Amino acid sequence: MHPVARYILQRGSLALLVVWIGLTVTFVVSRLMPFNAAELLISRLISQGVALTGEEIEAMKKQLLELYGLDKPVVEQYLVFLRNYMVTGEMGPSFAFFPTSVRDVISKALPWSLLLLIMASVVSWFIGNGIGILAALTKRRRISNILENVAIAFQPIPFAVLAISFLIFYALVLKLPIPSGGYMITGSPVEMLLYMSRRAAFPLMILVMFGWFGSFVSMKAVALKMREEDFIIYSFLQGAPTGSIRYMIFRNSILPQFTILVLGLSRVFIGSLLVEYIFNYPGIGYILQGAIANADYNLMLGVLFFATIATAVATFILDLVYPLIDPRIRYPGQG
Amino acid sequence: MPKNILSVENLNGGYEVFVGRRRVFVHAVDDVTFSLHNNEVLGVAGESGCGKSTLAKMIYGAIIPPLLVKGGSISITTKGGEVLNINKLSIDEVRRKIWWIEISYIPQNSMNVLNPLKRIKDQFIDVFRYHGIKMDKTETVEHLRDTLTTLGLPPEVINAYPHQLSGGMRQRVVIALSLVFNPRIILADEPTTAVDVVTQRTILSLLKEWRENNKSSLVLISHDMSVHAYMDDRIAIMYAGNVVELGSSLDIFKEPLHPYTRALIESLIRKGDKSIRKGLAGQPPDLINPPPGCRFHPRCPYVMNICRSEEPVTTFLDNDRYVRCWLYTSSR
Ligand SMILES: Nc1ncnc2c1ncn2[C@@H]1O[C@H](COP(=O)(O)OP(=O)(O)OP(=O)(O)O)[C@@H](O)[C@H]1O
Ligand SMILES: [Mg+2]
Repeated sequence: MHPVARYILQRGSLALLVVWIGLTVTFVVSRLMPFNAAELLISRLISQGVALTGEEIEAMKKQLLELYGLDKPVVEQYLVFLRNYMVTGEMGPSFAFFPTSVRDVISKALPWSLLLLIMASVVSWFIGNGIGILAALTKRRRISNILENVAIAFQPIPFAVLAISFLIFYALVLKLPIPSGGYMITGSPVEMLLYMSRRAAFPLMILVMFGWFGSFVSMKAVALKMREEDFIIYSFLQGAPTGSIRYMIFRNSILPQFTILVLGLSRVFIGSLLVEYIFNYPGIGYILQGAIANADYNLMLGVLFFATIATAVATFILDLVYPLIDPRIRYPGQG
Repeated sequence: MPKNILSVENLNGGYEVFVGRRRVFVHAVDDVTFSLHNNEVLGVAGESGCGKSTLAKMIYGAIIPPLLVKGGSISITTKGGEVLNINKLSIDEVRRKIWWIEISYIPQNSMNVLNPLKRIKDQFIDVFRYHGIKMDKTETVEHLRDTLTTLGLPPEVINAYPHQLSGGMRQRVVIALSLVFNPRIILADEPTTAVDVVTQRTILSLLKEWRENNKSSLVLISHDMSVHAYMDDRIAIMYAGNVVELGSSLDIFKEPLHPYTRALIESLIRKGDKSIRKGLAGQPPDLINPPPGCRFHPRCPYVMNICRSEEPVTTFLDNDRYVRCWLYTSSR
């Protein structure tokens, strides 16, 4: 087999292995939780004042467990789970939203999170790196230093604090309306996308506003160091015009930033409860939180399945792409 | 053609650095005057830290902070016969007209100066691009293959990335890079430090041959006197920022005048030597606070009273030989 093909196959199987391990760990952890969905539902009914006798409770619990498939031995549950994921592609029913399937619950919420968080990562990354490289190359040291100080001052402040402060300023001082609502809208995909984008614009703006500091600071540091590298100075002394030198600095500084972006993108699949909560924005973060609170094992596994896949895929992509963008990293067996 | 292709007059400079919060000046090149003839090899010798590389950077115009030029002038005669004063030109003019076209430079750390993300051949093509010189890609690559082969490199090197080559191979690539436009002057700062003695000899021979064919001039910096003995037409001996003696290679090796030159040459092991030759006692001086008078006086076996207080004047023995030492002013 061609060594590159073998390498891709190796990395691909490794990614699959990672997904499988991730799922198994999640499965084990979910079954180790000290309560289960049936007990939770019953205790909730009781606390709402529904009068139930001991036998009724036992009967109901048995029924529920049967319904959820939790009455079987754990090993069997695990096999069912594996068959669901690997063979049929079904993820089973959600307990909390019974009998809606996990797939439906996730497919309603995930696009919201993906749209917002992917846009936020990508836009912040571009803005941060763009300003970062400009700040490193400009002759106007003052402006770039001021920017850097602002970024360094804001960077350690938790996003919640920044976002809430901004919301207060926005709503109380500027007296502007904060968009909210949305979720179960049905329509054509285009309509949906338009609707979601309109809803995502506001949180996106704030996420980007406070999200570019990291890329900016690291890009500026990397590029400033790059300026002093021997090979840059050598090109300058060879008579390279300023434009060529700048491009060279940029080209060599962007490599490490690329990893940050791809790994960051893989994290958006578990959503962000914080962001969704602050902006009252529907997304997978809420779903995951609900799944944990209701001991909804199936839903939990479903959400984490996507997150694990995303991380494995991102790592896989990086492994494949790096030899193309950085010649120092080679595919094994390649000259 | 005038006799001199490059003249350096009263060049002064060094590094402005901070020691703690105090600003100090490392006076690495102090009142250096010499000229480079057409079609010759001029060696610059001296122990580590005496300012050889700094001199090369200043001549080339690679004035990157903290390096600072305090005074002096450098003029060169271009291929077109124009005389240009490098320190009067703007950096952009120097970049376009002088660098790589008239003078090329092989920096001391030459094995680490190649772009890690580019193939060797593309780094050559880039130099053409930098100067807006049109070329035929395949022809250039062909030519490059030949040049690298003469430098003892396998032809596959052109498709390699720098990290795939050894230090000595990279050094040779950088030497080849400096020759692409057939410059009239090459400043080579320790060009063969990363190779074994045999390869060093091969590279030096090729450089020598190339230079003779092109009638270019070479300024060769090395702390190794045997390299100078092999290569140089004339030698400048540097000590603590000063050129203390300059003369033809034959004269200097036959009859060194300055006590420092004598010590340098005595430290060479000659054929048939039984004992290991003695080196020079003492440490090179601090360039931040150089000793008063002659900078060499604390280590000089012939030190006189005047040496401790007054800087020696330059004594010309003939047009092409001078020494800066009080021993020779009185006896003239
Ligand atoms: N970037 C710098 N900043 C401050 N001081 C420097 C710098 N570079 C060199 N120096 C100082 O300038 C003096 C001359 O250095 P230079 O590199 O010219 O020596 P050299 O003769 O080339 O030595 P070597 O044979 O070791 O290469 C030394 O005292 C050194 O400490
Ligand atoms: Mg040096």
